[in-house]
Amino acid sequence: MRLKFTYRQNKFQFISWLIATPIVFAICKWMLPQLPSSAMAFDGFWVNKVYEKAENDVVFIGDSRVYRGINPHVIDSILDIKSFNFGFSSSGLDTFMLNRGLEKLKPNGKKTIVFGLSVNQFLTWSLANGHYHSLLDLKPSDVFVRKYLYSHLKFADPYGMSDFYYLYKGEKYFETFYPDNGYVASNKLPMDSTAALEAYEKQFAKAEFGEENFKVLLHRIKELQKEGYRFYALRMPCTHAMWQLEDSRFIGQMKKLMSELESNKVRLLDVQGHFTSYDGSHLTAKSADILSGIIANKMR
Amino acid sequence: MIFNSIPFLIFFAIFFAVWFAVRKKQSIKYIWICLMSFFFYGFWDWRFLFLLIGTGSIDYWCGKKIAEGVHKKAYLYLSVISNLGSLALFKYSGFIAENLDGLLSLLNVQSSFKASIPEFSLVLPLGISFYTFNSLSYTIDLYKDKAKQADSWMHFMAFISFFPHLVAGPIIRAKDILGQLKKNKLVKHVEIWNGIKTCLWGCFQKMVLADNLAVLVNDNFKQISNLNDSLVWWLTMFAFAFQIYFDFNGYSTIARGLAKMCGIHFKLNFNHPYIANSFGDFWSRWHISLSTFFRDYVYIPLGGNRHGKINTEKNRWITMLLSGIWHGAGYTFLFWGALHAFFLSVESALKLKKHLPQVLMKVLVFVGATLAWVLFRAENIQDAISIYQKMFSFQIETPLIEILKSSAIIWLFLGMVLEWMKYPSAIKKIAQNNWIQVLFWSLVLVATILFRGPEQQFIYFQF
Repeated sequence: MRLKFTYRQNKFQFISWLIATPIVFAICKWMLPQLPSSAMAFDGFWVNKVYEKAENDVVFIGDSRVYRGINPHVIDSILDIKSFNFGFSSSGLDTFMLNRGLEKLKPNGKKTIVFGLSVNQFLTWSLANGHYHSLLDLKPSDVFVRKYLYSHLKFADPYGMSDFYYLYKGEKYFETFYPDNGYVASNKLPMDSTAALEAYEKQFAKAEFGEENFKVLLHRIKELQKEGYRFYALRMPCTHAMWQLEDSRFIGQMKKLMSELESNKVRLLDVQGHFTSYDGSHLTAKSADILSGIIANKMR
Repeated sequence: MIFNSIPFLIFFAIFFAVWFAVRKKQSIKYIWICLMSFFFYGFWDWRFLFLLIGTGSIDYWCGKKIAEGVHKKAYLYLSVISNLGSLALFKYSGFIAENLDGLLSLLNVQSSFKASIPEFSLVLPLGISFYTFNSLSYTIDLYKDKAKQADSWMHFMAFISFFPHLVAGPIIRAKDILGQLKKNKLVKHVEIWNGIKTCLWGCFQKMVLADNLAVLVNDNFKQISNLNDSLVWWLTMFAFAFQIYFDFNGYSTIARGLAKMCGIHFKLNFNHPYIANSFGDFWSRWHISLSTFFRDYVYIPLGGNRHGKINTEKNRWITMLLSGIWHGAGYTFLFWGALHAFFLSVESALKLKKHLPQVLMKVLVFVGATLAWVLFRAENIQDAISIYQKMFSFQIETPLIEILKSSAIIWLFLGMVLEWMKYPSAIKKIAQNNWIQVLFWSLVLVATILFRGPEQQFIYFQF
């Protein structure tokens, strides 16, 4: 549609547009529903986790069950230390991730690594660590923008059509990001403790357990223990149905793995307690605090 | 850096601020364009900056010799070899080597051409397909006396490297741009405002329409073997047809807007291709800068349609196959070009435009182009065949209501409205109102910020 305007009209439009746009933006933001989670905070959080030089006494390594399930604030307040949550989405546990986790420890601190274990971490497709590598592939300018600017640009969080659909259905996925310690407090309403089962069942159908990789990892652990590093491990809690699914497919491997860790002086933490999962795999923020308290007391 | 990013906003703000001070001083103007454009390009990978400068320098020197009239043909050939050679090395060497190895293995001959290719040549330099063609247009037009020689090396490099068009087009001709760069044109406020509006529209197309449609397309292409629903695949391909259109048109529109703000006019690169009433018309509306390049430098020199029907068909097929392979070193792109050549041939032979109603032709062209996009998007021929089989199986597994729940439907619908709607005169009258304009462009910017899809790379960056 071609339109023609005079010079004065164009000048008027340009100046008015400069003034009107922030007003229109504010009105739109006021009219739109509040999003339960911030995409800008999400991007900034992950960049901080990878690129922030942190100095900690204890580092928790694992997948999404770890980064949503272990709250370092609780651990720090009980043990009077500085801990860091080094969990990543669908993260595999191998020497590469262990070495990256070690970089987050301070040289003269407690030099402690805690593995939050789940079956998924030892499956061959997880060992590619796609999430972590995608963050390593970011250009320096992208890292800078996400690290320093995104936290101030949360007002510009985008809305997807699915956001409106879920809000209309009454579904909300809450996330609060803690870039200082790598933890994400999360919750989902309404809760459905079987939601993740189908996806895991499909994944497990074509997955293989990376046993060779685990042998290499054990060897590295032994080397580090000689240098004074301490290791703990726990099987991350989830629903009974999820554990049953995992055990039905990989019980032999997980039992063997836990026993080999124990025989190699990795202290296993028995974390019995009443926990709630909002999807069958991940703990609610309240349960994450409970779990963290138990971990801290077991580590005393 | 991509146009829709914070680093680019900062970059352009700096460029533009200084541009106003230097635009009347020719030599400084060229230096500023070159410096900033080299920085823009080097931001991606500084190592390939030397390729851009190197091939550009060869073409400038060849152009100088051609203009002097000494051994014109030889220097033209040198320019062509330099440009097509670098394209062949970086874009096609892996493909050629792989096929040679395959061919020789069929004859039971051991070879490892692919393995012997140096690693650096397997990296595709950003924008190589575009700036080599820009450069070629200079030497070819000089040879044909259709263009004037650049004033200086800086003048020429400013044309080649001007950042709005450098990495993903439009393919600009030396005769169109060299003169504009030379002029000390005062950029009026009107042009700046028009440039801003053009950029806003481009950003909306790319960030809202294309990036949101990409979510559905990428998700479904990740699960080709599991997804068998015919309706879902048709929807996916319609979504891709609009994704690639808004992605590429969005980029071209932003490029035009940025150039406009600097007082440089780029020609339109897309003209509502999905309202084309024939395949020939489609190619006069889709990626116009590329199709006119192939028309002027391949089709017409081969003879065009001037030497009988058989030669016309031969020239058409050569042009379309080259156009296909320009897009990528792969059989899917070759077959994409071939499919469009086939459509053009059938349309010409059966005189479809003459015999069929216009509405039916428009539908045929859109559906034909959509079917061709399967080859463009698929990773390989096997995936493309699989998708065609699913599209024509007419097997419906997913209830329609579930399909309609997909958020991409809304963006697809909006895209179709923007592309196909004829605006009644009443709307044009309303749109002429100043306050409506202010509100509209405010909403475009706000919508671009608040409804942008997950960031996707511009599709044509891979070419």
